[in-house]
Order: sequence, then C-alpha cells, then structure tokens
Amino acid sequence: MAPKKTFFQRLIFDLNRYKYLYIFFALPVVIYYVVFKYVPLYGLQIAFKDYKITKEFWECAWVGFKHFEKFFTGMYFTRTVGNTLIISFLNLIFGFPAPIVFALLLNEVQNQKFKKVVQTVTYLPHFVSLVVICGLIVSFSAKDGLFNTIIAWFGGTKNDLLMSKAAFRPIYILSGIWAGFGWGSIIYLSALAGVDQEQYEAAYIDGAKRFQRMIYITLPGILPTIVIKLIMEIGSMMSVGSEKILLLYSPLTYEVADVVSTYVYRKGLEDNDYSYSTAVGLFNSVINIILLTFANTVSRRLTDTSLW
Amino acid sequence: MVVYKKSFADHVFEIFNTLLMILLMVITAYPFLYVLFASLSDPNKFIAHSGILMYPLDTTLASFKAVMNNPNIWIGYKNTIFIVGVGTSINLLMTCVGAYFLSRTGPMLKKPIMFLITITMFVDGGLIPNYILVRDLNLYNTIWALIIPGAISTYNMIIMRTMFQSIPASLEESARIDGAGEWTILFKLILTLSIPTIAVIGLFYAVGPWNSWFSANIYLRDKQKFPLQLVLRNIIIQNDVDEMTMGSSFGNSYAMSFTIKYATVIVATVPILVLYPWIQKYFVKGVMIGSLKG
Amino acid sequence: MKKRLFALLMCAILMVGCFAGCGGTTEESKTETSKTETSKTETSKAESSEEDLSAQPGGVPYEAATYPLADGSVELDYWLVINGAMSATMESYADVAFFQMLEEYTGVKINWDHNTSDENFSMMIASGEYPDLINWKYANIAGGVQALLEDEVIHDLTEMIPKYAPAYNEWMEANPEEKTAFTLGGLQYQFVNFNSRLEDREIVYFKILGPQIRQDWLDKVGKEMPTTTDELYDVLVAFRDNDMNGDGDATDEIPFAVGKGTDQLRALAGSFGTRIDMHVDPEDANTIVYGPITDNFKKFLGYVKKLYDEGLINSDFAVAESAMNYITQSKAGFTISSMGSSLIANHDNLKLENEEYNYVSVPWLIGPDGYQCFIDDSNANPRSTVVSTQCENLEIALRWLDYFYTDEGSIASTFGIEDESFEWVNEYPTIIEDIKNNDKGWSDEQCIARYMLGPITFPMARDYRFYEQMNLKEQYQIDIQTNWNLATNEITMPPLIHTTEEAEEYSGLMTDIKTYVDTSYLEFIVGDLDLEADWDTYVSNVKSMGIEDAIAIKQAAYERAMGK
Repeated sequence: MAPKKTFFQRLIFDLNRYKYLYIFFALPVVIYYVVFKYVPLYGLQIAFKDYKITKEFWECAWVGFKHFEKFFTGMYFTRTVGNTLIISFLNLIFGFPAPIVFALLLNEVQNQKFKKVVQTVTYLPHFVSLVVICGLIVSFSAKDGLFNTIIAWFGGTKNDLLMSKAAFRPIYILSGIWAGFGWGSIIYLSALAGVDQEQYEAAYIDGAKRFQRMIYITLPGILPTIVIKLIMEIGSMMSVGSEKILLLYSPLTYEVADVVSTYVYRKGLEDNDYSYSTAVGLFNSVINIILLTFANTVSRRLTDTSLW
Repeated sequence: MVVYKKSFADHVFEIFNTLLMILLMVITAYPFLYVLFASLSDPNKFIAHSGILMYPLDTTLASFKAVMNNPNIWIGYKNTIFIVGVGTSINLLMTCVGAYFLSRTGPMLKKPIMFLITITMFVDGGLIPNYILVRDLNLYNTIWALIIPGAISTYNMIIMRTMFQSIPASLEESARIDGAGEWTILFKLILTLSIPTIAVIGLFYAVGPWNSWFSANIYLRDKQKFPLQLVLRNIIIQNDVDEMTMGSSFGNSYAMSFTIKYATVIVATVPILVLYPWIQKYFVKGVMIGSLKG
Repeated sequence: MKKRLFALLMCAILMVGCFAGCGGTTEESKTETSKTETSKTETSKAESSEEDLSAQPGGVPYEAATYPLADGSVELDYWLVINGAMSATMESYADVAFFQMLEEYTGVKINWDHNTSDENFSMMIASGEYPDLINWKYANIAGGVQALLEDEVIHDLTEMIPKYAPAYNEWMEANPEEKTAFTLGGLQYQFVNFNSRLEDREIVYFKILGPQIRQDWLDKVGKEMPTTTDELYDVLVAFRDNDMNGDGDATDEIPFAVGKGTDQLRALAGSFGTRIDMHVDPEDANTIVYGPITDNFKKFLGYVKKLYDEGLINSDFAVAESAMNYITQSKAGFTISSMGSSLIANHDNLKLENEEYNYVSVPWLIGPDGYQCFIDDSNANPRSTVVSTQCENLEIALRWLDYFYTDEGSIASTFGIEDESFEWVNEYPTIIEDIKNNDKGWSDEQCIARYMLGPITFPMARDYRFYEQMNLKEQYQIDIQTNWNLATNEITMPPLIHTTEEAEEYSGLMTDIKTYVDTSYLEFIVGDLDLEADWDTYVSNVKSMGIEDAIAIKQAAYERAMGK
C-alpha cells in the first residue's frame, strides 16, 4: 500500500494525470460557467438592499434581511409556500411518471411508422402556447364543457370546475400531463434507443415474457435517466411557475392555487420591487438546493446514480 | 435476428396499446388543430364563436397574409435559422465536451465542479447583471448575445452526462488498450453510441430559439437582427396595443388581431415540425451495441 | 388588469374628439357647427398670435420658437413604442410622411428606438445610458416617476415648459383639471397625448365603460329602459323567465353576462357609491375610504348576491374568460362593457349573423341611495414623453416637443401634409381619400398612418376632427356617450403621489389585503361566507391587516394633491 499523501499532493498528481481532460474538457466549460453564471451572481446582493433601477448596485444601502422578513411575516407566507410544495409534490407523483409510462408503452409498438406518427403527434402541444392551452382548459371546464359532459355521463353533477377548490389541483396536474407527456417522453425514448437490442433477444430466448422484458431490461436501461431527472425535479420543487396558474386561478381558488410566484406577481402589480422579488427568489433557491442535495444523497446511497 | 413469437396475451396487449396510443393522439392533437383551425378562420366569425372548434370557420388565409406581409418576417426567418444552426452546433460541442468530462470517474475535481455547475440551475443573478455582462463583453446588439450566454444548458448537459455514463466501461477499456486517446474515445466511441441522445439534446437546443423571444428583446436593438420569434411577438403585441383604437373605429382589424395570434404560432412552428422526422430517425430505432464491439 | 385600465383610458382619450360638443346632433348640423368652430379658431389664432410675444396666461415670459430650430446638426434619440398600424407597413416613424416633413421643417433629426418593453425599460434605466426623449407609461414603474426625478434620470420641467414649450403650457393652463392630473402637484415633467378642440382650448374626457342592453329583448318583454338598479333587477328577471332568444328553451338565458376579473360586476359598485378599492367618500369629499369595508359595499354585495342566487348572472362569472361568449351566442341580454370591447367593435358583424341582435347603451344606473358614480380609472396612466438628463439639447428638444401642441403643429401632426394627405374643404381639414388606395392589402388605418399621426397615440394635441372622419358617427356610439356620461366623478381620486417609503409600505399592506378581500368578495357572492353573519368578522379582519395605515397613506397623499 502506498504511503498516504496529503490533499495537495494528491491534487497535483490528479491534475497531472488528467491534464488533457482538465485542459481541453473541463477548462472551457468552467470558464463558461464562471463568466456567464457566477459573475452575474453579484446581482443577488440586492436581496439585502433597497434597490432602485436608477442607481448602481453598489450605491444602494444595505438593509439586512428586511425583504426576507417582509416575505416571512406576510399573512399568506405559509399558504403560498405550502401550495407550492403541494403542487410540486402532486406533479412529482402523477406528472413525473406519465412520460415514462408512455415511453415504455410506445416502445412496445411494433409498427415503426405508427410509432413515429404517435410520437410526432403527442409532442405537438409543446408548441402551442400556454395561453392557448389554458384557454382550452377553461372552455373544457365550463359548466357545459367537455369535462362536465364526461362527469355527467358517469352520473356526476355538472359544476363550474374552475370555481371549485377541490377541482383546481387535479385540473392543473392533469392538463400539465396532457400538454407535456409527449415532449417529456422524447428523452426516455432516446434512452431506450440506447438499450442493447441483443439483451432483448437473449431474454426472449430465455423465455422472458413481454412484461418481464420491460421490467428487467427496458426499465433498468433507462433508470439512470429517470433517477437523474427525478433528482432535478425534486430540486426544483419551489419553482412552480406563475404563468399557467395565473391563467387558471381566481380569488375563489387562491386557497389551493396561490403559489409563491403568483403571490410575488400580484405584489409586483402594486409595486415592482426588485429587491423583494430577488429575496424571494433567493429563498426559493436555498430551499431547492437543500432538497436537491438531499435527493442526491439518498439516490447515491440507494441507486448508485447521482449528480455528484 | 431473432423472430419473436407472440402469445395470446401479447396480442391482447398490443390491441389495447394501439387503441391507447390512438386515444392519446386524439387528445394531444387537438390543441394544435385548434390553433390551425383558428388561424384559418374568418376573424369576425372566430370572435363571434365560443368554445371548441372542430373546423375552420369560413376558411380564409387572411391572417397568414397579414403575418407574411410583415416586412420583417423573412429577416426573422433568416436570423433564426442562423441562430439555430450556429447556436445548436456550439451548444452541442460545449455540452458534449462538458458532459464527457463530467462522466469520467477518475478526476478528483469532477465532483466539486459538478456540484458548482448544478447549483447554477437554481441561482441566477437576475436580469440586470446579465444585461450589464452582455454589454461589457461587447455582445450587445449582436446576434452572438443570443448564442454565447446560452452556450450550455446545465439541464441538457446533465442528461447528456447520464447517457455517457451508461455506456459500458468495458467498451472504453478495450479502446484504451488499443491505444485510443481522450478525443478518439469521445468521438469514435461515446458519440457514436450516443447518437440518439445527441439528436434529442440537439432538438432541445434547436427548439429553444424557436420558442423564445425574451433575450432577443433585451439584447437586440437592430430590426435587421431580430429572430423570427421576436418579429412575431411584435406583431401580436402591437395588435394588442391598438385594441382600443381598433375597437372604436376599425372593427375588422380588431377581430383580425385574434386570428393573427394563431397564425403566428403556425408560422413559427411549421419549420421545426418539418425538421422533426429527420431528427426522429436517430432515436426511434434501437442501437446494436454488439455490432460496435465486433 | 393594468393593461385593461390603460386600454380603457386610451380609448377615452381617442374617443374624445369625435363626441366633443357634437353628441346627439345630426350630421348636417354637425358640419355646420364645425364650420363655425373653425372660423372661431381662426379668430382665436389671430388673437393669440398677437399676445404671443408678450406673456403666457401664467405671466411667465417666453421666447417664441423660430423654425428651423436647428441647422440640421442636432439629433435626438427618441425611445418610443411603435404603433401596430405603422409597424405593419414600415420600419420606424422616420418613414411617416409627416415626420419627414418635420425633419426638414425643424432641422432636427430624430433617431427612433422602437425596441421597447417593460424589461427593456428597466434595462435601459439600469444601464445608466438614456436616450434624449423617453416615452413610457410611468405609473407602472418601481417607485413611480418620482424615483426617476429624484435620481436625476429625467428633467424636472416645471421651469422649462413655460419658457420653451409655451403651446403645451397654454393647454395645461387652460385645462386646470388635466394639469392636476398630468403634473405631480404642479411639478411638470411630461408631455401627454390628448384630444384637442382648438376653438376653446378644451381637453375632454368621456366615460368609456358602461351598461348595455338588448333593446330587442326589452321590447319583447315590454319593459322600459331601466334607469335604476331595482328596475334593472326586474328586467333581468323578465329576461330569465322568458325564452328571449327563441330557441325553444326558456332556461338557457343568462340575463347579465359577466366575465373573469369581474369588471362588469365591479362597475356596478358605482351605483352604490363605492368601488372595490380606495376611493373618495361620497358623503365627504375630504376623506378617503377603503370601499370593500364600507356599508355601501355591503349593500352592493347584497344586490350582486341576489343576482347570483336567482340565476341572473352566469354562474361561472369568476372564471369565464369573458362575457363575450354569452353575448355572441345570443344568450345574454345585459352586460357592462368598455368602449374598446369586442362587443362594440363587432356589433355590426354580430348583427349580420343575427339581425334581431341590437345592443344599446343604458344610462348609467342609479342605485338605491341615488348614487350614480363612475368607477374611476385614474390609476391608469397613458404613455407620455419625458426628457432625460442626458439630453444635451434641452431647449431644442422642448421646442421640438412643443411643436405638436401649437395650432399649426396640432393640425399637421393629426392630418399630415396639406394637399398631400389632407386638404382644407370649407375650412375643414379633410383627409384625402386617395391615400387609402393601395395594392398591398393594407387597412385604411394602416394607409392613413403612413402620412399622419391621427390614428396613433403620440404626445400631441390631436385635432378632434380626425375622429369625425373615422367611421364613428353611428348614432349607436353617440348615444353611448350621452348615456354613460351621466355617471358622476364624485368618488374618483385624482392621481396621487407617494414617497418611495409610502409606496413600499402601501404595497406591503395591500397585497395581502387585496388577496383577502378579493377572495371574500367572491365568497360572499357565491355564499361561502354569509353576508349577515360573517360581515363584521370580515371587516375586523381587514382592519387587523392594517387597512387603517394604508388609508392614512392615501389620505395624506390626497390632501397633498388637493393642496391642503
């Protein structure tokens, strides 16, 4: 066994051993990240200052945690943070698996032409703007709309679905799946394409049934992609966008629908305060990074796949 | 090639699966069809209509004419094609290079670098510092302002890295034994095996500019440099701003502003749709790793 | 929301010219009036030019402008949104025939920057490099326009305007109400767009939001035009109980169509002397109250709740994209809509589909306590032009801006170049029809906009006769103005100015309060809250959220604005 080296000795050895990797592969990327991602981070200081667009960053006075306090002590702090996490969580449970299941099923389609057509059609909603998608959701949810026709068909009573607190989240999540599963599945399909076909043949010869092949060959083949996407998804639980919710919610459904971003949006209508929104953004980032680190650690222990 | 024999259960499954796929196609095709029908509808009929559309109302190409008559639209197409072409090449190069490094198991600094890169997905300095940076780098009002700051999408790079990692280490080792260097391994082995992923990541990058106008709006002043999306957005926005003028005196233009919105979606989307099957062919068919081994 | 208000106000401004002084007259007599008006203008012009060199009404001496203002070496950067009618056919305002003439006439070259948006504005200010002239909606920016003045981004023009922009100043002096609205307690900083009547130096506003009803339905049920909220209720009940649209189903009528944002309902609050925001107390013009916690508001809620409970408004009123669906499907009989809405814009088109279809305006409704208040939109702020501190040629810039308010400039900017885009017919500036001819499929408006600024929003005194020549003469729209203008302004607040600290505190309080009030408002209507049992708790909740402090901020600003 070699004598134990100090950290720096090991580092120098490492840098020397992998110098080509470091110089040609790591360096350009690191430079990019430093210049375009880390340098602008000085802008985060305005979360602790009273920023005005008419002044330079360094000219503004420090105010400590004033903007954070304002956010934390706001009457709707727990509600908005709670809604954000709940909506993200529901999306994780229902929205996240949808493209995976779809990709697995599509993979079982034998006719290549049909497969291509299905794929092309299902990814179309990605190109339709959210405003149009939400407009359709609103008309489907109306009392004489499509959803109510289906509900009535199953013997339910017709209702203005978007006015109901109970229906908001299901509508939000389901419509997200509707508009997103096709596009979301593309990455899994490409991962599936990377699964060695020989394995299927070998499994078939060994007598594996279709479902078994799916579970023991296909799924493990795309598992790293699933895990990595899942970790990143968990790491963005605080980032529920405002655009879609703004188009679908009303004061009647604030209780279940008002998330951090929509609240900040409404505050911005009163007074467009960069410092406040930066502070809230920073708070979200911190929570996201904590969740991400946690998910990554768990995943490293359980599945061997991790971001770092 | 093994010939698969199907059991009865297989047949039942396939029938249901096919039916499910058809159902999914129907529900996902609708939003786009709606946009298509709306864009082809007579503006006055369209705004007098409510709810879902099953066909264009009095088919007319008036909205498309209005969009295509805009003098800037062809400039927009040209710029967008440049941005997508050059931008996606740079994106893919940078992403592959970064993903390759991050997929290596050896280097000590890989993990800390990976962590610091991942963090940037969650923190952002905000609009103003980014704007000042672009200005200080002399990228302001150049088309490069839309390409260079977005050279790498961390998300895409992480996906790419995951794919690289899933390539069996044995393949790489045997290549190394044959005397292959880093570049050879990247280009000859890893990239060849990752073509489906590269195609998809390329698609993700290419679709980005097709769908975004925001940075163009901030970083460009010169109309000659506007990408298509910004041109289209300006058409929509400006029709919006005039709502009150038209409302009171020019009813027809007012109605038109609605169908124009839909026409712009079609105008913007069609090129990428045409491109898609070409990209698609790289990832619908499975790879035969064995064939590379031999 | 802001955008809508903005649209409403813009509409008001654009509508002004047409209806000013000619509401209800027949076309012939209108032409008569115009003639006499024009001759009056001539006289007043002559008179004022004699006084010109001496002094302003305010007594401030000024030097009259001499053209050209510069020898051609002066350039000004003008940051301004391009109007859609123009961007459809040209690159920038430099292509407008009027501006080409103006460049020659003034000797000042304008570099137009039309790349404008909310973000672009923030970036431009944050970057510290400003163009000379900036046109923007200043009410929407962080810290308000005060921040721009305090930090010396833009010029305080109080001293300069009387000196170098005498024509603009004259308009302001002649219209004290507008002066209050367009200045910060007398501090001048901007050039605004308005419609002008030269003969009496009048700037006029019109109510641009109001009730409308299906006259054919009224006739069918044999009811009179409703004038009060109670009469309206009776009419709505009749609409509900009969098969108004004649489709054989007497249950599918929605008497009163209401869309999301509930503007249509909120406007009705005016008939109860309140609105769902801060307003002037109708009983005491010196006091600001917060509408949603007043007894008037409770009465209003009771009325709306009755409409909702009895099926007189559409049950999805809180989420329906707009009321238009019900209107176009001939299911609705009454609504409240704005001048620029699709209902009015498409009235004739809809009539083609269904010839019975006949929406007419309803006089602004009187509430049970006699209120007939208009819900103000003073929060809306139209685009205006300011001069940045980096402008090196301040005097020339101001004189250039002032040109659009001179008697000559007002006509030229509105109608373009004499004998090219307009001609004087019986002393009446008439747009030459030929300019509308084109083989490119451009609309009349787009063609006209290639020559003149009449169709667009630009800081100038637009001559009202422009609108007389647009297709606005229909009796339908003239009636609207007569009927809606019955509404009073007694609860309307003037534009209020806050210090940065006040603005911050106010927004901190009001975001939560509005969230709570908006929710409770709807819950009272749909019955999740009980108007009798829960009202007091609701009021005390709003109070505990700090509404008194918010009211105090507005009260203080109100007193400052009223000069107390």
